[in-house]
Amino acid sequence: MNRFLYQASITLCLALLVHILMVLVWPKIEATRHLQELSLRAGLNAVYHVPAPESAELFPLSGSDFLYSYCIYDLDAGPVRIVPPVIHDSYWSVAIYGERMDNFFVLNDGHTEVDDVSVILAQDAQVVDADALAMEVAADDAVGLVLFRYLIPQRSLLPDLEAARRQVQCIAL
Amino acid sequence: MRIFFRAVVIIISAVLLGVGSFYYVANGALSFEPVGDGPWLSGLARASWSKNPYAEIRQARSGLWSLNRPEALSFIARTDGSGAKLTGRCQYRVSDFPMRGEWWRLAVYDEAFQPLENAARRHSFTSHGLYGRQLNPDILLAAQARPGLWIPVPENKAFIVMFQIYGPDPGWFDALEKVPLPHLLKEKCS
Repeated sequence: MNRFLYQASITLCLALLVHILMVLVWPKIEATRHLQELSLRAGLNAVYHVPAPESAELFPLSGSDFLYSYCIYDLDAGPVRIVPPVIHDSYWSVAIYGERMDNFFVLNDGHTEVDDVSVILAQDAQVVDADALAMEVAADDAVGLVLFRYLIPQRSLLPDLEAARRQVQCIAL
Repeated sequence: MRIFFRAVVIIISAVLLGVGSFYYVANGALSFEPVGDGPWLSGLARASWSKNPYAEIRQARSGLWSLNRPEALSFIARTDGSGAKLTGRCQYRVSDFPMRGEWWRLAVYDEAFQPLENAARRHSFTSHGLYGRQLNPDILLAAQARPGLWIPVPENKAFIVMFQIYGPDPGWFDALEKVPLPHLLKEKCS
């Protein structure tokens, strides 16, 4: 009986360790899978303008009232400059996510009143030669997602918004 | 040999138990918690700012790239104010939208969180698009066309409503019950 209890205890402890290990690594495995799927369309450090029919497939709970563009950043070779075209009087945002899908930075229309905005994304050890207007953002991970959202408040504004989002840039420095 | 056999049995059992229990927990649907007495539930984006590892796993599985605080707060409703499941057999009125926060968005999705297909190509309204036309709108959710602000929903099918506040009061993140959420009322059923 004692031997059975002993073996059962070891089994339960090992099972708990396996469970904890899965909890720790699984979000990254899932996030990596999503990032790979997205990079198939865009490549690395390149912008992909999501066609409306694809947005729901790529981004659950998205909507036809937004235009989506994204780039998968890769900081292994150096920092990346992100340039969102500024649109006044309508919501837009640039959200940056790490390799566990954690959203660690957001810039939106309410945060800036100037027309020229750029974000330099770099890892801590990387030397950034940023100009005075650029915002420097530190990333913990070398790979992640930059997601641009442009609200379409009225259908009549769609051509202007579509033209504006074509100016989105994601450039390896 | 006997010890080796026992060790193998223990290891296999532990792996099966550990992976099985993980799969059971991680394979669940996105979890939502009630907010106050109404139909609204919270949970979207919660994984970004809470320390719940299972919420993070479910979010990762769902592929949801949610916005972190303080950018937006999201809520969903699967039922009306009386607790009955939302269905295209009935007509619903959403009213009393909050005037605080930078702007809001109301959208309908199917139960798999996919936008609802409809001929009008409309599944949402935002205060950005409405203000200037109506300060405090009533939005109707119905299968048949309705005058005014109408979002088509599928006849005889269940659906969910999502309500998002962009630029919310920072204090709301820690006190969701204080968020002024719109009323979602069933008007009539066929």
